[in-house]
Amino acid sequence: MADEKLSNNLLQELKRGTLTLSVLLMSGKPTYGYSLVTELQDAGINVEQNTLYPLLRRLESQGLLQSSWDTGESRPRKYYSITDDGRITVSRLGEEWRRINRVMSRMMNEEEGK
Amino acid sequence: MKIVEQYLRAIGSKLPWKSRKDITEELRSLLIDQIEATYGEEPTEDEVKSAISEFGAPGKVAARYKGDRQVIAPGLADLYFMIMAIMAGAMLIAFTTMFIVEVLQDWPAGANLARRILIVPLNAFSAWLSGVGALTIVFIVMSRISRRTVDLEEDWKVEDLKDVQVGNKVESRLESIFSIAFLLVLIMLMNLYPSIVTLAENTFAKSGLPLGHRIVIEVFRRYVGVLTVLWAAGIVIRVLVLQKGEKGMGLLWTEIGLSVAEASLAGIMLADRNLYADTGGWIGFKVIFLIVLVVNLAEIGGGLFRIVRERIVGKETH
Repeated sequence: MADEKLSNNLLQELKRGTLTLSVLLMSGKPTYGYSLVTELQDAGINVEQNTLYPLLRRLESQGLLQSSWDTGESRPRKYYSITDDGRITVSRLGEEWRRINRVMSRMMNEEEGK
Repeated sequence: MKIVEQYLRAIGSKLPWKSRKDITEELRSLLIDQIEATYGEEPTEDEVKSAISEFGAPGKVAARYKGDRQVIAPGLADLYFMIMAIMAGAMLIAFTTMFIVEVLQDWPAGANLARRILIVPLNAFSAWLSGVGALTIVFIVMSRISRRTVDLEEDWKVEDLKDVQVGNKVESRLESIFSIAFLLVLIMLMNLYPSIVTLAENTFAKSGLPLGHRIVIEVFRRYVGVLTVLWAAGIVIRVLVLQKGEKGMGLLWTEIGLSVAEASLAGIMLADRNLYADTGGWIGFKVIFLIVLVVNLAEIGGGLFRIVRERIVGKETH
């Protein structure tokens, strides 16, 4: 029987790679951390807040997102939006994602057909 | 909400200083967003506690922001542990040598001898610990520099391989390890026990061969500081050779520079009349200084020849 812990670790690794692309895709308009969590969950991607919030800062430090504090609301919120470099990266990652998706689908179909 | 502020303070205390304020403020906004979305605008204290508990332990939350911070870069870890092991061996050799020298001089017996035997590993361990401390600082600095300049995952190109030496150009690992251990032993012995020079002279004199002169230890001590710097530089060069597995042009020139310094010092020591007593000939440490001078001159010549050869070979292959 497959080790459940090992499977969970592998699943996490699989999701980690897709999370960056998901976040960049969702950052077309300025968005703040908590709203991004709910938007991702609504889209079907369950992400832990403690994984997402540091990721936003990392993507900002890599120049793929930019941020600004909005102090006009009842409390200050930090909004993130995609940069030009981020858009180029999304385009590249998206292209690769589609290719991997095609290849993986074909491989899984072949496996299921056996 | 005091409990929220306490929670944020607990996280903040584990965050890097420069980003602490910004991360804490962002977390405050995010945490309150979550509390309000889950429990409304006026949550009870238990609900706030529940939300905080769900957010995670302060240490874990802070760790996610800090990422994986490594004291020593993974690429340097093997070298670090190897030098640690070399240092352990060198310290043991140095203190055992000093013990033998002391025994030959004083001929201790009984409890005194047992005490001296017991002190050998203790002193070696203590000196090793100090050395490991210094080594760790050096490797932390090297790790910081290498992290800034080289990213093995992202910056690597096949073209980088053109400088990698193969075949008989690869430097001997064993030779480097032996040199590091030997230089460490020399540094330890000469700094802790410079009168070993006199002991060597006495041993030589007992053989019946004529000793032409004797070293004046007080004068010799003045040279030990300079010698230590040169030997330490030699260790650094050998460590770099171990790390790279080859001698690039930079290392070759540095090694030639060190040989020039060592040859010059040997020349100065040979010419320094205050360094010798009972001058009646060359037999004694003068011969050793002369050998050091000649060996270093040979190394300068060899190094220059190697540079010229590699330049010619480099031009031919391009």
